[in-house]
Amino acid sequence: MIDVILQLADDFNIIIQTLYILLFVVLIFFGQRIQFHLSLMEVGGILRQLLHLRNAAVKMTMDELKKYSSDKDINSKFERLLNSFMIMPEAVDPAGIVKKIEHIVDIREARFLEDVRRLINKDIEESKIRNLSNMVEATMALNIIYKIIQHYYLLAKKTKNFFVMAQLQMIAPLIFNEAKSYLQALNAFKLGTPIGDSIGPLIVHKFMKHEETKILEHKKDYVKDTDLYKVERKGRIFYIIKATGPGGNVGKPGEAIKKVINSLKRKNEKIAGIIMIDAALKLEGEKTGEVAEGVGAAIGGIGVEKFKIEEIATKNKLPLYAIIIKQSLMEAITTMKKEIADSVSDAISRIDRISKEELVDGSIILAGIGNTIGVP
Amino acid sequence: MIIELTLQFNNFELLILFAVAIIFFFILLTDIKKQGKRMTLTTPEIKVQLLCEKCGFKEIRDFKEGDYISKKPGEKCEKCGGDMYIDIIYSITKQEGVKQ
Repeated sequence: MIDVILQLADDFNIIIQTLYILLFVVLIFFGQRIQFHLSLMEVGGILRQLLHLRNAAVKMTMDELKKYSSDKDINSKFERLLNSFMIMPEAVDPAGIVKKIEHIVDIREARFLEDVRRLINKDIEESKIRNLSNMVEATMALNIIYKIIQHYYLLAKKTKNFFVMAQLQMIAPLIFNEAKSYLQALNAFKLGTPIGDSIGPLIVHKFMKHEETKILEHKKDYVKDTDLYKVERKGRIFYIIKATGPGGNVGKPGEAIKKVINSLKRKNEKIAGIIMIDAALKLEGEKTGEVAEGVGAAIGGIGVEKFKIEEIATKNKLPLYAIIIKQSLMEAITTMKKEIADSVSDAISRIDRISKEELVDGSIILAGIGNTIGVP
Repeated sequence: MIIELTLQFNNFELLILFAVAIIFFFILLTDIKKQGKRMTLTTPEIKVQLLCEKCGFKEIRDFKEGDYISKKPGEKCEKCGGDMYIDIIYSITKQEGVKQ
């Protein structure tokens, strides 16, 4: 009996040892390939989820468009719009590139809005058309994210390139979170609620509506999609710039600031400085809705409007102040959170402080930057 | 004595193998759970804070399509009967799974 047990124990020992050696050899020669297949599985899963998000966004946008359209060909027209693109100007000779970018972006925006308008054949408000175009844009963003990830996934699979797959595996979860944000943004655009990015226009709107502020003049569409208000507050004159609301729209604040400064210069009216208010991406660990002050042009986007503001401020030696409200990307493009909305009073008190202590002499240009959806 | 020692060593090896297998199983399980979490989307509950123009009375209700900041939706103040206007619109998030 003991002999049998001893024999069994010996056999088991040999099996275990052989397995160890085999595992070692397999891991030496096929370790990277195993890792590649594991990465392939993980990225494949994320890609399937991205496809699901993309399809959900397409369905949601199509359902909303169909409410205002009886066009039977809407599916193919929407597909054409979804796959439209913009080619950026050549940057080999960068002189004058900002004007070229602005020209291309203007053409793209005008054509895009007209395309959305053509999809709808019912009489609806302009603000609703703007919101629908924002929905289409968010769907386009999801579509392009899916296509790019799919491209690299298939490329890595085809060429069996472990390093392309490893990079994709590292970045895919971050891109997936961004994609989720875009899908959630669709809901906000569909309903027309203010989003986190609307905090700039919201603050200047509340500033105007404040009991201590008196609106002296309102110029609608002062420049394309942008309004100008002249207000008086605590004995000071403010020129307030914001995109035309309440439809989803960012306007042309750079162009508006340039026009106001040139107009005030012609009238010999002294300008104390420019204050810009915008939403800014927070770092992980920072509090949502936290207000911070700084200097410079607080504006995102492709860079055209920022360039114009910096250029006109430099040319006229005007101080450029910035107030930012911190939030994550998800918070910036989805319905405004309470913490962000609660930052309004803090931001207004900071405008008052700057106008009282720092920009003491002359009129102040106040620009609320961001998408003005839900804010008139 | 020698026989006992060999058997004990075998048992110890088996125990390590089992422990490693269990650890790997739990790591795999946590990873699968994490992957599931990636697909949870937050459904926002959208609230509207209304203020009375006359007395400043505050009221909170659910968002209705067409609401926007400073809009006067035609609602009257419970206290003084004054016109109410939309002060802020904000979201409260709750977690919800999404069907794939």
